Amino acid sequence: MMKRWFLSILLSLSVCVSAFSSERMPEDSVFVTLNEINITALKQSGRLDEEPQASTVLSGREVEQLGIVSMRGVSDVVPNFFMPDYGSRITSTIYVRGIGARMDQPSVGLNVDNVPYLNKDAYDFDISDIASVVMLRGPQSTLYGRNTMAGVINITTLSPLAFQGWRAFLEAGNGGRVRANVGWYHKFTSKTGLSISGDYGHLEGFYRNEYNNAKTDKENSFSLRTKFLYEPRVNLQIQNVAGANILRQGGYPYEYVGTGRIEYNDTCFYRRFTFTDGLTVGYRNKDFTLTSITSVQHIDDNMTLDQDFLPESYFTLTQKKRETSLTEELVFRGSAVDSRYSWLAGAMGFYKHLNMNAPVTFKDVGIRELIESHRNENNLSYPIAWDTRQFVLNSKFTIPTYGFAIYHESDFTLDNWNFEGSLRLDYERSDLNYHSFCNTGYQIYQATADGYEPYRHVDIDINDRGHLKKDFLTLLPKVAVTYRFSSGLGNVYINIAKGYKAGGFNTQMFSDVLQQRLMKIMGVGSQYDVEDVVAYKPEKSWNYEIGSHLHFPSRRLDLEISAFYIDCRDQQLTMFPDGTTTGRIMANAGKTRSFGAELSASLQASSSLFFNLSYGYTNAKFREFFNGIKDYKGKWLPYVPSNTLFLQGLYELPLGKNPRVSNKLVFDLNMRGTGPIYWNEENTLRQNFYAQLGASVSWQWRDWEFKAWGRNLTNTQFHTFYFLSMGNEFLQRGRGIEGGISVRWSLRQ
Amino acid sequence: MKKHLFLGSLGALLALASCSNDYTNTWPANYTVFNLITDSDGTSTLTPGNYMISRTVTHESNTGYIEVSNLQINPDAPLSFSTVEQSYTTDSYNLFSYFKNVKSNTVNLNNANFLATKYFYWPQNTQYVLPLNYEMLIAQYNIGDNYNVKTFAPLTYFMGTTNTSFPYQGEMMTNTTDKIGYFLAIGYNEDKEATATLTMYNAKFSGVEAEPTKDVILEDLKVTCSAGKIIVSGESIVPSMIEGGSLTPVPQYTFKTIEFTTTNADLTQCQIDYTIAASQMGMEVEYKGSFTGSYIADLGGE
Repeated sequence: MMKRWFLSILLSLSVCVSAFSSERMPEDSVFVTLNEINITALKQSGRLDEEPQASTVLSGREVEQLGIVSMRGVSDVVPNFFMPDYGSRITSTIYVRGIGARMDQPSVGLNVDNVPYLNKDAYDFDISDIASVVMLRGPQSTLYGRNTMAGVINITTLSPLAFQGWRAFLEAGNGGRVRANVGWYHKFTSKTGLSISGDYGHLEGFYRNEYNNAKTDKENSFSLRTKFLYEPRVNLQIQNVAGANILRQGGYPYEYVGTGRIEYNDTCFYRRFTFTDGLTVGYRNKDFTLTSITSVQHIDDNMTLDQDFLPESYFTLTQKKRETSLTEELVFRGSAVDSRYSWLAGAMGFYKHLNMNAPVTFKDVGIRELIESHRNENNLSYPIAWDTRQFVLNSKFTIPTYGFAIYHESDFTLDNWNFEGSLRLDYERSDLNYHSFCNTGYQIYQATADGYEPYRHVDIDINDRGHLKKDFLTLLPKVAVTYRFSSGLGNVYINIAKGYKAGGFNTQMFSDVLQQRLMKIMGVGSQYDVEDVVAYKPEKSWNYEIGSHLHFPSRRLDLEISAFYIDCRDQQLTMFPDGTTTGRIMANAGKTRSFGAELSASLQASSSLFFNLSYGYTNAKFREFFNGIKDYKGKWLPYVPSNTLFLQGLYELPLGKNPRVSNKLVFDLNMRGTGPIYWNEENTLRQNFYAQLGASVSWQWRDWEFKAWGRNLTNTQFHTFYFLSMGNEFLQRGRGIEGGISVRWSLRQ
Repeated sequence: MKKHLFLGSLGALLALASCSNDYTNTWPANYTVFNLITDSDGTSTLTPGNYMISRTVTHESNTGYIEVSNLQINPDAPLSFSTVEQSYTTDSYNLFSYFKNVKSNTVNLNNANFLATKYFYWPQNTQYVLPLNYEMLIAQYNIGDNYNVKTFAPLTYFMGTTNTSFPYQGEMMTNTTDKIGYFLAIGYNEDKEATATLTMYNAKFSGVEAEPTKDVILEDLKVTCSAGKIIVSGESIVPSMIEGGSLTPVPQYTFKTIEFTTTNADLTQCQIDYTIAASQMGMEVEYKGSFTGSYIADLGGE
């Protein structure tokens, strides 16, 4: 029994090191993790390339080869997975197959060492010593729950039971890039291991704010991680991973289209502290395995923006939040009965508590052009002048959210056929307690023949408190059928699954609510209904997928092909309201549909030459979307790329003649392509398809690796983001040529 | 509908509260309204009046009677009378009570129908807060062969469709919206003359998207009646904006003319026409608007 347990874990994890490329892993690879509980292995029946879904697996070696240190790097190589750089690590926008969101609830789940990350604001961080990255595409809501509507990413870091010794890494590059990490891995006994690793990153920046000539995207980050594994008995495993991260980042490099310059006068920064701890306890007996995953996460961040991104003083926003989340999941997996039936069941609960303070400060030009002129246009004979040239609209929120779910999956195997059915019942409730307040005033004047005389003073004293609540109960089914070719060629599958993204409250809209309240007091404008504007419904989808995993050992070729159709209801879209408002709204857009296809291929052309390809196509459009003013039926979804492409060629040139001593050059030539991307619902603006050429050459000698790398070597000009605010257009430029050198050292003891 | 809530939904809570098979619930409700009294010559007058409806609800029946007081057919001798108790119809939520063909033992009451309803429009987020069980009384009846009486509430809020026409960049444009609400308050001035205030909520005169909505008040409008209709009108009215809890005049939207006229037999529907003298880029222009709508969201009964 122990052997079967060990073997199943090893087989399921071995896919992590072979699915992306057919490179045969050296026996002493540091990235093969043994006896470690992994969330992917827990919830999948076997090897990922035998599962009825599209997936991408990157081994630790591949992660290092590609220079991936965060989720954003994963997006370069996974088909139809797009995580653009929107200028700040708080904006972790991910689009998969046309499903995604820039704000609030994520559409892709993230687990790091089994710890589920509930808040998308903490998704973008650097991780060192990654052992594997598994990306499951398509709805994973049945097994992984809320906010995995487009997929889930599971990242596993290196285990001290797999590697003992020291690892260090140092990198320098253009833009003032410096990155360093060091890790100590130790096994006290055969059953106890501990690792401690630290990471430091610095970026001086690529973009300059022409207002003060300072770099806008300067960044410093520090992180620390400990991983502890203990097996007190042969059928009991305990793993605890704790990590902390401190980030200090500059502002957004948004250029104003009117001038083509990045130029704003007020402070912009993003500061974040995160702490996570995940405790995984696994128990097994002859009938089942039981795993408990307990986690706590804490985020404390401050985003301060010159929200007009102009050199004039319109308004600034500060958003400070503290959020603590607790999760607990129990996963039961039954032992296979006659190798024909297996089952999985689980229960999951979470609680998160968010406190947020988000004041918007109106400044001189903002008061004049957004408030005074607005009011005075409607009453020229009685114009107003504000008491002060700066005032604050305050908003404070407390948002407790909790939920629980139960799920089950049954797996039947009959000859070459496998039938899978799963179901999840998910309940969630969220409350919003808000307090909006503002104390200011203005003077009304009367136009007379002699000029303007004081007419009346208006005191504005807003002190609104309220409470909203929403709860959601949903059933999430999934069925799948797989046929396995007897020849070992692979399989073909179909699956139908329901996806779900939780509803909630868009707190960023409160500044608009308060501003409209202010204008209403002044006799102008309509007052927003808070619940109508702030609350949004869950997003649901039905995903239909057909695909195949194929292996051609004689040709050393692995292929993964899939085609999908997604029918999405109440899709949550971020929109910028027309006119001179300060915030963004989350709207349930009616109905959208997305269809497309994906191809991943890896070929070992020779013992030294390897090729990888991943291509994704997505055709995502509105089926119904009327926002009260315009009808966008038939338009492309904005911000979603139609094509993603990754091509890579790897060539290894052995040096030296002693096969026991690693000594080789590795040449890597790659191309990343994305687009086109429409920037608005009208589809009048778009970023055409663009490609970035990358290359690296590394010398791997004994325990060392020396590497030189470059990205976007042809200096392709492109934009990663566009938005409209106060009627002004802004774009974010993509980075030009990037390059650097690095040294990696790994001393095994 | 949500922003101009009718309070009827609250009545559902009361209707559902009673589920016992053995109960009797009697309650009176008082209404202070205007009576539009039209004589056989077609001459109409508008005078205040009072009504009381007493309803008794049991498990098996809904019955009630009506007391009418201060009916100023003869202002020197106001008439008061009661109707006989009779059954009335309602809906499952008890949001209206409809008395049809009501009779009286003391006056020659004929063609008399009385409707008390919670299905009416009301502006939200304003200073007008109604009691929980407030109802509108819509009554029509004849006294003998010579007098027809219709009731009209002193405060009514009309919702419907507003069509505007306005010059924009050298062309005449039109716009249609259902977002503007019209609140009519009729009372008496110091000279005991009937006068009215009309408040337009979410008003927009030019129809241009850039023009913000605003709430404007037109005060001291003249109230007249003619041939069974209520007419509220004014000329060269400078409206006021509700600003910071007080009123600020808005001369740039002076109403050259405005006229409100009830259009149907029970006075629940109206038409409002107005012309505004405005200034656009230094030139004098005219905005025109026409509204048709009702203050009742749904009529219970027949």
